[in-house]
Amino acid sequence: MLGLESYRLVADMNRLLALLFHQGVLDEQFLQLQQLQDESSPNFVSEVVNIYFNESEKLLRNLRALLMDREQWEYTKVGVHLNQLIGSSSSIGANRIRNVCVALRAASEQNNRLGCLRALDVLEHEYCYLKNKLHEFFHIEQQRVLAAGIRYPNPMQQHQHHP
Amino acid sequence: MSENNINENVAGDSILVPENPKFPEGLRVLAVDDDPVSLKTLEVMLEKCKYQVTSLTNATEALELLRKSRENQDIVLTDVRMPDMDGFELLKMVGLEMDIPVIMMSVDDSTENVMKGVKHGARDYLVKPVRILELKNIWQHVMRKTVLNPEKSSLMTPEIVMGDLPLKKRRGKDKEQEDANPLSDGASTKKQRFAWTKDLHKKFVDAVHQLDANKAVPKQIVELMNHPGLTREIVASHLQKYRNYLRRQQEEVEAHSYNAGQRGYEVFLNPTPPSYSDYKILPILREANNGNSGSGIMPFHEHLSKPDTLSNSGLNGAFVNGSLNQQVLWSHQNYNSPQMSNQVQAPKPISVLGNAPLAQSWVANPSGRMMIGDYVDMSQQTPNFGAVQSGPPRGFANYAGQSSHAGFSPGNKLPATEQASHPCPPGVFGRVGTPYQILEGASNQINQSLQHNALPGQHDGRVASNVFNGVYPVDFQATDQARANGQGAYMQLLTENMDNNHHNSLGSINDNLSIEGKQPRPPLSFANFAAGQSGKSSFSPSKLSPTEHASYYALLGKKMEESYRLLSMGELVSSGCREYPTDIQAMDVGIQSKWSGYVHANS
Repeated sequence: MLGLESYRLVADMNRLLALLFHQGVLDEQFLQLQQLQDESSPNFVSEVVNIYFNESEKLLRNLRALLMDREQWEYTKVGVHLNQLIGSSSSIGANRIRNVCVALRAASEQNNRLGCLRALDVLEHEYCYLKNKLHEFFHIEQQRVLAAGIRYPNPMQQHQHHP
Repeated sequence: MSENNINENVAGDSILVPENPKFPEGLRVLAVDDDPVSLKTLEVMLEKCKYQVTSLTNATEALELLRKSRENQDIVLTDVRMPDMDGFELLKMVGLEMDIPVIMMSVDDSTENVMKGVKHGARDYLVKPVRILELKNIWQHVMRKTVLNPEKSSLMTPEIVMGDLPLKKRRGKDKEQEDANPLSDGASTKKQRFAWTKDLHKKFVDAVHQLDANKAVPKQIVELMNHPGLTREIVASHLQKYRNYLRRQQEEVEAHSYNAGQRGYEVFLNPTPPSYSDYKILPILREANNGNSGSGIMPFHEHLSKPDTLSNSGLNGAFVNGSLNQQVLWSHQNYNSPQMSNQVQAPKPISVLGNAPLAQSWVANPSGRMMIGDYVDMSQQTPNFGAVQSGPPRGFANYAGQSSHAGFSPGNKLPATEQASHPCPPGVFGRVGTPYQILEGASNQINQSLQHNALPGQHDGRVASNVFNGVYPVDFQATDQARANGQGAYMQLLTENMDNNHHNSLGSINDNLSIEGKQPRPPLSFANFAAGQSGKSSFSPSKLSPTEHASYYALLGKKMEESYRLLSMGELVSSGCREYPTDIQAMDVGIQSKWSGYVHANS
């Protein structure tokens, strides 16, 4: 039934979030973000997360480019990028990504190329994982909103929710 | 702006209250941060606090906005590290020019940075991620200014102020200001805060130096400056600030055992931003409406403008022989890079127009990099004089500073820099015309598409070993199967850097990253369930009742903790890793109805 569908979706979302919290992928900052979402900023979390993904992808690409350079490494640039990544990740609540960034920063400050490269790989992996999970989360969220809309049928709403 | 002007308090009210009855709602906040994620989060949080927010990613834009109308913001929140201008620079400028409280933010909570913030006059220093609770209180800084300096507050009308003080004690400043300024007739407008424009400040400095600065008295300064509306009190407070800056600068200079004989690049190798930023004794040497000021690499710009100013005002002699110790130091600092000063004087002082300083600043800071705390890199960069500079670098576009790189010109405030019309004195640093050697390589690489398959965007993210084996490009040298999976790699990284007592910490050997030590443990949301039933480690979750589920989850939580602990002993809990994900998968598969029932009961 439609009603149950919504419950299931909520349950799925909660389970997914619980998993992510457990794994330390997200931390309570993400909860703060959720609390900020309300009628005045309805899609806040997904907007911010999208901005985050866009920015981080750029930063990651640049980091990869910087660190793949065979010759001179620009550690200060790496540091700058990392700082921004740390800042945005902590604003989102992406805990593990932030930790790996910190490790990467440490490695780069010690001029440890191998450590940097490995940390970068882990970073990219973590990023992909987070991205997939959050996409899943928002997907379920979308479905839930739709399902919730259908639950209280209303000629206007139904018309709006027409896929 | 409107909220503060709506209500007039009755004159004679002896309580200092802001005229906005709903204070602190409507507080006008200017938020500056180059990171859009943080900025957006901050914006929404501030709006949640019912403040009126303006948010910008560019510090120079922020300055412009503030200069345009000095009264339009109550408080400024700025990030410490920004590409076009150091946050501390912005802090000082705003503090000197507009006297608005500034709060710094950063991921970095190191003592030295916080200290720096305090020294530069920040009212507060917040560590990211910023919580909304911290933001709820920022109005206190605005209020504090009101309490301490009623005349200067933007929240008060003259009536409140004057109502407080008996007439005969009313300070000369209020009176004169009121007379001089036709607007402040006390009826409904705000008190006009006295504006220290750059010209005015220049006059001020001239006057101070003329007067044998040790004995510069505000009264005489006022006479010398001969500026309408300028009163002794205003000058006195400004003088005090000025002296504080000089003193601070001297302290920092001494602290770094600055050698008066240093020249040239040693200046740049000296990693003391304060000594540069304290050149900003004359911080407001630019036209306010200068559209090109965007690429202001502030410290250098002003650094270079100083010799300019000096030569213009003919104070050179007086300056070098100045009686203030600080002055002597200052002149040394200024002339420390003779090549620089050569260059500065060659192009004539178009600083008024705002063009030359930019190009000059590009000289000093050719890569257009963001002014991070240390300038060590400066000496390694190839200065690039007449060559095209592409304006305010933002983020990663810094090192692709040439506008020829498509897609990297930020598109704002470019034209004037490119026309840097002053002649480019060749060969001053011996390497004219070979710009960005290192940088070009790097920036080329940026333009290349990602060849590395390190972003396997399509993997489903399950932390299971079989998924990642092929994907991982780096050979982790480990033969252990468990290490080859993603989880393992991550754990390996953890173990490499792990301190025995830091669970889940990627703390490094280098100690000055104070962040790592304070990593919060991963929030185990179910960890405060009753201690899980041990011995139930391998069972089929699908047969659990909801309550048992809770304890199962608690057990998982415990296992998580355990695995972290084991990690810290250097042992990869490969068995733990394998078990944990699999269990979750099993959960995924088997137990939807039971789980949803459980969650529903508890949500």
